Amino acid sequence: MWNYEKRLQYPVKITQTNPKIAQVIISQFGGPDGELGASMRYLAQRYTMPYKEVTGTLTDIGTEELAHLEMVCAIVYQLTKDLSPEEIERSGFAPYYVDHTLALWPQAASGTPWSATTFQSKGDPITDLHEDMAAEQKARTTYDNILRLVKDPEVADPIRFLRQRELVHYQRFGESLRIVQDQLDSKNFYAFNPEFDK
Amino acid sequence: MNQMNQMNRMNRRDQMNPFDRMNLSDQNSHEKQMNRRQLMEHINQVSFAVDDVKLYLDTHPCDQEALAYFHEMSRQRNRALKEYAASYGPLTIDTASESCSERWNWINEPWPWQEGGC
Repeated sequence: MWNYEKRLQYPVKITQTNPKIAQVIISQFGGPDGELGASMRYLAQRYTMPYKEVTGTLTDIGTEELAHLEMVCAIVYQLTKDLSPEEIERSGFAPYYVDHTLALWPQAASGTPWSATTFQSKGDPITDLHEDMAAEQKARTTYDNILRLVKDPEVADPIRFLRQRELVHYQRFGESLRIVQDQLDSKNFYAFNPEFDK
Repeated sequence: MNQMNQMNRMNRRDQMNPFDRMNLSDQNSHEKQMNRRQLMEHINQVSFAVDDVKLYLDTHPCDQEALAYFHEMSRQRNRALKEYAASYGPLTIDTASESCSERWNWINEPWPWQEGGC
């Protein structure tokens, strides 16, 4: 069960449109290291997770990623609001516009549609938590790449917030991995899979 | 003051908090005097504190200092959400009854990605 809260986790107030940078930022909506994939990854992995601290972490971070997805969408929406056909043509936004007008659709910057093939739900806590930690770092790198291209401080500010959260989530998943390993045989962490072997 | 120390300690530990320049403990019970923008900012700050310490508590469930900080921020958040709903319209479905009106206010205020939204 989820409840909607009618505010962004961190405010997005962009006054200048910029369809060129919107096409880059949309990757954090539906790209390979974007927020949609992040949320689905953690929310999918949690059902078979046998450690309550880690189930909680997956649930709460998976939920926060939905709020990040909303912030990324708000950024793209405000960067492409009320564009004229001339602006669309000039900025190279036409290939997106022809299929989606000015609506939001989860795709990578390259135009590749969002896909569940960008993440795993492997059913092994050590495997999944390593994937989760890598995912947070990949998202952090993507935000670093975006920040090198963004000149407008109104865009950079919420992007920096999102980047910082990747670091915190990485930290929490690292702690989760330690909690898992503390409960396993330190001589052989891989002796059995606590999500499958009883 | 313990709560502030806790917040600062966690900020240093994570090197993460974009709200860290703001002194949350200064904003105790002044929602009545805040204008709409200030109240929204206050809600964003205390809600972020709740979001962040919640994740910390998931992996440190026995940290009493963090737990006390969670309770305080959660209390401030719930009070501010009620106050906001009464004055400007609901942000959550559970505070929708606070805005005593004949109308269904949930859809009237701007959505958060829109101009004038939160």
